Amino acid sequence: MGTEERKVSLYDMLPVMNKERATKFLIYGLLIAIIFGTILMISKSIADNAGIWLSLENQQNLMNYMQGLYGYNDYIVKAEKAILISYWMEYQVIILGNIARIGVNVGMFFIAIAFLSFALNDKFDEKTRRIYLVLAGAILFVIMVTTFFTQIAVILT
Amino acid sequence: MVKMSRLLKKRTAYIIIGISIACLILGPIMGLLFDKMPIHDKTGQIIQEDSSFRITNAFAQPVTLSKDQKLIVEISEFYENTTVTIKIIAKSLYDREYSLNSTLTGSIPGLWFVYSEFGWGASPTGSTDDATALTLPNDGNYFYIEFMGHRYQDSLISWPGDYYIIVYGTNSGPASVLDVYFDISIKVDGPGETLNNLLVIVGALILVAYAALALISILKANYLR
Repeated sequence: MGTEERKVSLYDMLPVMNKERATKFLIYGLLIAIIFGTILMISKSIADNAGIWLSLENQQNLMNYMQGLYGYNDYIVKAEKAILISYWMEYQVIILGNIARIGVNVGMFFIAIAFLSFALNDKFDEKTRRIYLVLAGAILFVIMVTTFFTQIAVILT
Repeated sequence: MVKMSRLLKKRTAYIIIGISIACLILGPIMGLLFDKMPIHDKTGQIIQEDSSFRITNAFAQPVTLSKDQKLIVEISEFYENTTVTIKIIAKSLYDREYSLNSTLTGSIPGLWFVYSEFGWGASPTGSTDDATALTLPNDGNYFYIEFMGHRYQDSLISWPGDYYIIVYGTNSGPASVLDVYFDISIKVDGPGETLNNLLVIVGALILVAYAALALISILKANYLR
């Protein structure tokens, strides 16, 4: 009877990972969360500033017309296209924002798994493991809140 | 050590990112280069005085317009004693008049076009008008004409087809001087915008696809085995 090699799945590796693998999870999770978070912020900034971009484009279009670089009908076409682009600038945040939200959640999931692995690693002392467990729980809580609600907000009155 | 797939090798990365950046840079350049296609551009174009009553001697430039394609004519006349008239007519009409060796150049009905008179602080709608013929310098010394086949008020309507731009004129100088001069530039819309959009989209897609594949391959090579 030969030995059967069992394929190790991701589930099997979790959460009992060694320290090095957990650290990798933490770093990659952070990296993914930072990248997607940055994409989200850039996308939001583009959407917020669509109006001022449109004003700038309209003024440039008008000045180009006055200089005779193109005629009236080109002026109208460019003005209409500028409006379309400004709408896209506002709308892209919906597409990119949702993709980025998935990305950030995946990144945070990796971080939570990493902290959970630290917490289950008996090479750390009891106190540190407890801190890691609290951190993993807090991150999971953030993931759940941001998944089921739009955001976490602190409102000062 | 982080394992890498073939996709992430330095050379492959340089080639893929290089192609995408080249597309992103080339898009706007090609867009600008092919925005308008020049058909005829001449300073000091000469026609004879009898062009005003003999169509065979008038300046005639054939143009074929496809759907949504626009014709742009810039005409100016700053020469002494000369008067020129510009019209845009259908090819069928031109061919008939030409074959008949028509002596009625002046009375051929022109198609409607739109022209702009640029001015600082002037509203674009206020400085734009329509006409079927323009005579220089009586109506003005310089005109920027836009034509697509037909127009509604100052906006153009696309009527694809074959057209002729005809210019005829007179010289009010001594009887022996028969030459009539004018400057003309004729352009049509080119494939610039399509090329620009296509190249920018292709460049961006390559970059995004590569970033996504690279991320997946890192995760796959290190964790998801």
